[in-house]
Amino acid sequence: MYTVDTSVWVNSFDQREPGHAVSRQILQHLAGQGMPIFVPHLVLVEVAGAISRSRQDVAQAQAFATALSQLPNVTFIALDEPLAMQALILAAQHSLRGADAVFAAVALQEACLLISLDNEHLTRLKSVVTVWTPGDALSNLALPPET
Amino acid sequence: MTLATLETVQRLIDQLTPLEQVRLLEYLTPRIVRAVATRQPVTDAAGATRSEAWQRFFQIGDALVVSDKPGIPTLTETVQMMRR
Repeated sequence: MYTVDTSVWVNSFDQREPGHAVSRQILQHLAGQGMPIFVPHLVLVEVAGAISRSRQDVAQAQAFATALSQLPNVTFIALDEPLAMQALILAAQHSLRGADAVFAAVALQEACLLISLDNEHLTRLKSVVTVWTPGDALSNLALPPET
Repeated sequence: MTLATLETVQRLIDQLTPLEQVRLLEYLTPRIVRAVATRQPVTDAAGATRSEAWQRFFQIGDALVVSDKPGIPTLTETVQMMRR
């Protein structure tokens, strides 16, 4: 089971960014295999905000977030009190930013592997959850890189 | 999870009382149900629906390239800025 950070969802669709093809390949793999993905509802807010802020396109932002919300093997986890407490503890113990802590708390609660491009995830959470970059995921899942 | 870790967990479970094992089951059951519910084979009707949903998602995502303009921050940069 996987938790996919917002950074990977959006990286897959910005061809100007390094690694976008790898992120795309990971999403396609998770989609094709029907792998369970657990993410906080926050991911919808973040993708909508990122698209709207960078492109000033309300319709695109809402359409993308809505399509993401309708993916059947993606489960959205509410930030209820236990999850908030878990995020609080992670934020305090590892000096995380709020959103980073929420994604980490979901990964921990749902026993997921976290796939992220966020440097805070990659550097501060090694002792808490397994964090892979999309490239790590490609290697560890033994997927051949697309040419 | 490695085999060694799994064996360690199994040994720990063996130390639990029956009541504690019931509580453990109560904890695990919803997670198992969710995992099974979200992992159906692609070959059935639900799988087709799933495939369509992902296709629609990728189409909408690919359409973002149309609004790429030189000089605007990339999407991942924007997410990082929003988190600062």
